[in-house]
Amino acid sequence: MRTVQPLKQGWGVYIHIPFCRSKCAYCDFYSHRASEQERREYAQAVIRHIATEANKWDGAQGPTTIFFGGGTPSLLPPESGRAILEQIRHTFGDHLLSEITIEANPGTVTGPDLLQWVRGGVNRLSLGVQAFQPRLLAFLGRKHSIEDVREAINAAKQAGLLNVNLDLIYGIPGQSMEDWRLSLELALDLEPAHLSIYNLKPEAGTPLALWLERGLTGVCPEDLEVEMYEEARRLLHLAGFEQYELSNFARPGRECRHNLNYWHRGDYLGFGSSAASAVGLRRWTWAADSRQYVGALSSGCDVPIGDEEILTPVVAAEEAVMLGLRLTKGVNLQEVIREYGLGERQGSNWHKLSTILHGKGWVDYDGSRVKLTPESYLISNEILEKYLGEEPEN
Amino acid sequence: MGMAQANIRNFCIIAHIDHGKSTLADRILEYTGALTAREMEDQVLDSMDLERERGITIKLQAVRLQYKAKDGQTYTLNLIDTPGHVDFTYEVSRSLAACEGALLIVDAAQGIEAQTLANVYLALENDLEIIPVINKIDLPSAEPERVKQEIEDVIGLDASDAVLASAKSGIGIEEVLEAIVKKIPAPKGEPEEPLQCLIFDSFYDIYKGAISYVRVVQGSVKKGSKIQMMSTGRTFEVTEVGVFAPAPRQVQELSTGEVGFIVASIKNVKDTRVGDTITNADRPAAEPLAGYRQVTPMVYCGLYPVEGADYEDLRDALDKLRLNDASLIYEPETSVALGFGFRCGFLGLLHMEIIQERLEREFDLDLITTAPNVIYRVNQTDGEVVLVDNPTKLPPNQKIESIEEPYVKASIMVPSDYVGAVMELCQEKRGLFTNMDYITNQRVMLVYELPLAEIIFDFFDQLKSRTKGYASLDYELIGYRASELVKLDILLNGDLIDAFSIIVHRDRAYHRGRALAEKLRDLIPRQMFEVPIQAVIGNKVIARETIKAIRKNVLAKCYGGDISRKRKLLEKQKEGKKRMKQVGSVEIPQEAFMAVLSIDQ
Repeated sequence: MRTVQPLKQGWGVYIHIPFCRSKCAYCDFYSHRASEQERREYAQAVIRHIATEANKWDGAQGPTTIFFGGGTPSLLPPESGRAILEQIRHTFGDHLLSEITIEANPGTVTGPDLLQWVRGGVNRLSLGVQAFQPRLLAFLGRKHSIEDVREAINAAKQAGLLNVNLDLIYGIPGQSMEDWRLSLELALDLEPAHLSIYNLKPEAGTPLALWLERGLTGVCPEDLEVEMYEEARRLLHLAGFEQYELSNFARPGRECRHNLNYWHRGDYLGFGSSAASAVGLRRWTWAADSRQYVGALSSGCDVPIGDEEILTPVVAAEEAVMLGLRLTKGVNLQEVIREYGLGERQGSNWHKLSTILHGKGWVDYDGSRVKLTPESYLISNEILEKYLGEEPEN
Repeated sequence: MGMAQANIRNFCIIAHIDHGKSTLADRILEYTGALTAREMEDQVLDSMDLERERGITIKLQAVRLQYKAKDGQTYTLNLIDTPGHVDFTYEVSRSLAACEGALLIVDAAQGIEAQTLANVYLALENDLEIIPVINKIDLPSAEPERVKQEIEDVIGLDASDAVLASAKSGIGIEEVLEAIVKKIPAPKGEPEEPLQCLIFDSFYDIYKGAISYVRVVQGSVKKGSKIQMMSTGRTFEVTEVGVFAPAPRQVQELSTGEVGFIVASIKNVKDTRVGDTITNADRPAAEPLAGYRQVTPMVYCGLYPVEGADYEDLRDALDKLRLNDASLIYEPETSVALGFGFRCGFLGLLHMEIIQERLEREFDLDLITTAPNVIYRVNQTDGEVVLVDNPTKLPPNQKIESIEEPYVKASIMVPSDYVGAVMELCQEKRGLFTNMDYITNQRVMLVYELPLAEIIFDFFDQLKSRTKGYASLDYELIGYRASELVKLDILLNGDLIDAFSIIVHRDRAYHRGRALAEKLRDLIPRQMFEVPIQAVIGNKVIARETIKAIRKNVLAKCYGGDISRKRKLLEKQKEGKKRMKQVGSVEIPQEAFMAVLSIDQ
């Protein structure tokens, strides 16, 4: 008999939709092409999965956020999306539900479809724009046009979706500072509530990594990437956006609550193949194979697990710092120590470390809350690393 | 002389690396039934992993074999292994002293090499009977007749009845065994005389204590015997005597002429000093055996734990290695940059690398090795002579009258096509030409006098690469000579890093300083701030480089599905830095401390 585990208030639900029309050059998420029939079956499996998981969790008053990520969630038939949302409400309750996001690629959304999603409760749209130059979009393997972006934004407005995020990428081989500035300006012209600006990173196994390895493409010079990031921070600040995370900017009050829960190291349940879940010290993913996923759920078997780890309180606390330091407001070390029940020693190690880093100007530290200084945002790994492992460094 | 003693043959094998010594030893073991082919792990004699990987023999091993010869009699053969590298000439001399004969293995295609020659001369000095064996005769490029001629011309040995063999294909093994039985004399010595045992190696076993590998020169020893170490006078009771066949096996007695081991609950390995003579406590021999020439380390370097806390572990590990390697010497030293560590003396560069690798592998230590140097002799203005085994200990300039450095006579054997290349190299390394001999039409022996410092720098690597691996080198110390030497220092971020200091010839200082600064710029990863590098002689900066600051090291994204992976990424990054040494505020990778060795490439 399983014990019912409580979920920490503020928890979120993530639904992974692993469908794409084509694979982008830099993407290492689990996704593939699928027929409409397959997509509907997949949605049915997700619904069944949510239902079977119900009795394992005490979700108190239900999730605060739901996020449809992918892949391309906008490829899911809207009525299937609505059915999934219905199941979540039914299983966990919706008293606290305040943010439901769907990711979409320009060229995959229409006004009527979006309206259906909105009727199902979706109130936030995240649009993968990436760039405004056809040659850069082509390099990235994006299939949409600049016109598709405008149409998607219009569709969102028609559907009453005002909380819109745009993703942009900098550091693309061949991207100039002018390209980047133009992308930022055109993005701002679309009046989004939120902007994510991501540095292009060649993940192992992606075509991009392969091209680089074989010398088929150059890299964006590091100095230019740094300038691009600084330029984005400057322009977005001028436009009234606040940076609240290393790569995320929002108009006041429009921060992504679902993602904030990750950076606060909150609990979340993921559904769908390859989706990750975390409850307390346990984190796991469902196997990254949608056929296996659908098969298991239609035959009543347990959904196979991909990866699973049970963290020690110390490692979990280190993660809380690693994640918390991504936020511009930083993380309260004393609260982390308290939450994960760590001893004095860890506290004094972190205190010593934070004091040293503060002395070097790499963090701000007031004795309990530590946050990166803007100068160290782009070299944050060098700092995060120091909070991992037991011994503090000098 | 008893029947048993008359049928003992003690021999070793002299061969250049790759000429097939281990394979021949294996075949002999197999042929005599000491091991079946199936139970034989390849190349039994090279038991350390490192030896097997590098294809060289470092530590001596002794194996007893039984061979039924064609004359119908059964002989006891003791094969005492010898190392084949120039660093270990000392160990070779040890095994030679325990034998009456030696197999000289020469590759049928390659001919005699410089190192082989040196060892043959050692064997001749020890009055050993030498049996030439021409190996690899089934190679298409084999020229046994030419190699025979070479043996006669170069060494002056009669090679007319040299054994033609191919250890790999099992050709000539019986002939080798017959030659051992017929040509190598039985050991002399009287079993009734007071005991004289030569310790030719010792080994520490945590259960049994120090185990001595011995050759009984006269008398006999058995379990219960009271023995005495002639150099220290300390006495012990023998708890076990035995032989390696090749697994250790207890025997009743080791008598005159025999080779085996003695266990006597000896707690301190210092009591089983290699070269010492063991005798009877109650009936001691009048004289100890000749022993060995004292070994002198030629190469010194600093060994430091990456983690300061590992200092005691490093000391323990060195103590343990020294139990089996008397040629290793070390004493504590302190570096401003690296903290507490040891100055270690080695027989040569290979010896140094082997010790370093054994410390890392067998004792799981992360080490920083500083660039190796020789011992300098400094004549001070006040008339005092100071020996300097560490560049940082060089007296201040105004106190130096002159500096002398060790010189070696280097013999290089090389195909005639490469003579020009080798001469050029020797010139670059400040060599003085002494002699050139055509051994055959195609093979030349070049003799140069070279500073030892240049040999340990990168001479061997350069020699190999410029002659496509065909040259072989032997060298011996010939004394100290005055040279124009200066100390070159490196400053990182304005701080002098003592572990980078080297002593160089004045004419090379500028070039090496600049090359070293460039090399360090490439080897030291970027830090969170800019790090200037300066190469300095005295107060004069001769080269300047800059390691730029890291500008970007960030995880662009970190969402729910990424957290584990990103945490592991950071952990890996941190792990990578653990292998670096924090000096001041700069993190320096281990290889940077050896950078100077590769700057001329």
